[in-house]
Amino acid sequence: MNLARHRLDEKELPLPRQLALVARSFFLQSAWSFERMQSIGFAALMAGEGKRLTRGRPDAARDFLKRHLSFFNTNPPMAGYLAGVSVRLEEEAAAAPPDESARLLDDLHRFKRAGVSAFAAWGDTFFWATLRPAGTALSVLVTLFAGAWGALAWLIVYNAAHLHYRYHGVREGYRYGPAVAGRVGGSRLKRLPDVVRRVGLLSVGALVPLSVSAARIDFGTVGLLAFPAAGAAIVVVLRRRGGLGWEWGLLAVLLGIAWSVAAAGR
Amino acid sequence: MDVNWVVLFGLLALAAWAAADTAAFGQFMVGQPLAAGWLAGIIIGRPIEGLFLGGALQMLWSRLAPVGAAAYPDVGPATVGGVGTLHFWTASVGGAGESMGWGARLGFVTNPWEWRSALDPMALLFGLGIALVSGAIGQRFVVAMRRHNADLGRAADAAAERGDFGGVERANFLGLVRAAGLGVLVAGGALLIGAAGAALVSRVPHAVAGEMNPGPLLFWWIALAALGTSLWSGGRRDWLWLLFGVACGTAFLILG
Repeated sequence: MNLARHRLDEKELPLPRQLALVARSFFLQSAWSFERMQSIGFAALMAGEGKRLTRGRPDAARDFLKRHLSFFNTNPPMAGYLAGVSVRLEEEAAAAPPDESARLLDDLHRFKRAGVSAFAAWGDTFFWATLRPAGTALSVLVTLFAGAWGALAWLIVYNAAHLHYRYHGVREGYRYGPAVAGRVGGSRLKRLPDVVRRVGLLSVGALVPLSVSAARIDFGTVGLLAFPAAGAAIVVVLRRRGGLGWEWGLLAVLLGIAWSVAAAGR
Repeated sequence: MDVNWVVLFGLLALAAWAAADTAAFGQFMVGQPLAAGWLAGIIIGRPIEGLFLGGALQMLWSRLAPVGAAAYPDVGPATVGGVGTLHFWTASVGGAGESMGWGARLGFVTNPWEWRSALDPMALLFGLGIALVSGAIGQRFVVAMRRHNADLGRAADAAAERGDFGGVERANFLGLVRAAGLGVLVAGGALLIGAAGAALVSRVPHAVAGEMNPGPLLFWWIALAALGTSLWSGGRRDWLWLLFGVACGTAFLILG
C-alpha cells in the first residue's frame, strides 16, 4: 500500500493543540544521542497528546510511549509534518475497533519509518545547506552598511521560513494524514532551494567589491589589483569545491599576529 | 585586570542559550555566530566588533551543520568566548570608552567599518583565534555529551515501561540542561584562556589600533570564499549569478 495515498477525511486540529505541538517540537533534539537520536524528543513531543488519548488506561499509555520511543531522526523544522500525521493516526486508532486500530498503528509505524528520511532529505537540503549560507551572505551584506540590522535580518529571514514549516507541518500533517507526503513532494518546495541558493550566490558576488571597499583599500591603484586578485582567489577555491576548514582561518590569525609584532619592531 | 562580573555572568548566560539553541532547543539561530557575536558584543559594550567577529566566523563555518550524527564545532559558545575575550583585552589595555547612544550601543549604526579602527587589530585576531580553537575543542565535548546521553534513553525506556509520560519529559529536559551546561563550560574555558592570554599577549610590543594589519582582512576573504563554496554547485548558472552579484556590488559603489 502506498502510504502517501492513504486518504483520511480532512479534519482541523484545534489551535491550542496545534500550538502546544509546535512548542513541544522545539525540544525535539534536547536529549539527542548517537544511540537513540531524536527518539526521546519525539516521545516527549507526543506526550501531551498521549496523556489526552490514554487517560485512565496505563497499558495504553505504556504502548503509546513505546511506539514513539522507536528510532526517529529527521530535520527539526520538518518534524511537525510527522507529528501531525502521528497525532491524527493515534486519534483515529484510539476511536477505532481493535482490528482497524491495529492496521492504523501499523500504517503509522510504516509512515514514520519512511517519512523521517524523506523529510530529513528535503529539510537538510533547504534549511542547512541552502537557507543558512544564503541568509548568511545576505545578512553580512546588510551588516556592512547597517550594523546590527544585518544580524536582525538573519534572525528574521531564517525564522520566518523555520516557523512557517513548524506550524504548517503540524497543521497539514493532521489535516491530510499520511497523504501529506504526496502534497509536500509534489509542491513548489522542490524548486525553492535552487532559487534561494541563487540569491545567496548573488549576495556573495556583491560582497566581493563591497568588502574591498569597506576595508578601506584605496580604490585607485590598489583597487584595480584587489578586484582581480580577490576574484581569482575565489575562483580557485570554488573550482576546488572542497571547502575551507577552520585551520585556514587560524592561519590568517597567526599571520596577522606575526605581522603586528613584526610591524612594531620596524 | 578589571573584570566586570555582571558582564561575565551575561556572557555565560548567553553561552548557555547559544549552546542550547544550536540543536537542543528551538534552533532559532541565536546560537549561530552572527547573532551570538552581536549579542556578546552588546554585553561587553562593543557590538560592532561582535558583529565583525560573528559575521566572519559564520561565513567560515557556513558549511558545517548539526545534521544527523555529524560532529560540529560548538559555534555559539565559541563565538561568545571569542567576542568575550575582547572585554579582557580592553580591560588590560584600555580602549572602549566611547560615549554612545542606545542605537549605537546595540550596534545600529550606518557605517560600522568606521568603528573598526577603534580597537587594536591584535585583539580582534586574538578573539578570532580563541573562538576557532574553543569551537574545535567544544566539538569533542559535544560528541562526548551525545555518547553520554545514552543513559537518558535508558531512563526514558524505564519511564515508558511504567506508562509515565512525565518521566520521558524529564529525561528530555535533562538533555537540554546538559547541552546548556556544556555551552557554559566551553565559553567559560574560552574566557579563562582569553583573560590570561590577553594579559600576556598585550604586553608583547605590536602595531596598535589604526595601523594596517592584513590579518583580519585575510580572515574575512577566507571566510567569504568558504561561504561561496557552501552555495556552489558548479553549474554555469552559478557563475552567472556570482558575476551578476559582483557587477551589482561594483555598480553600487560607483553610483553610490
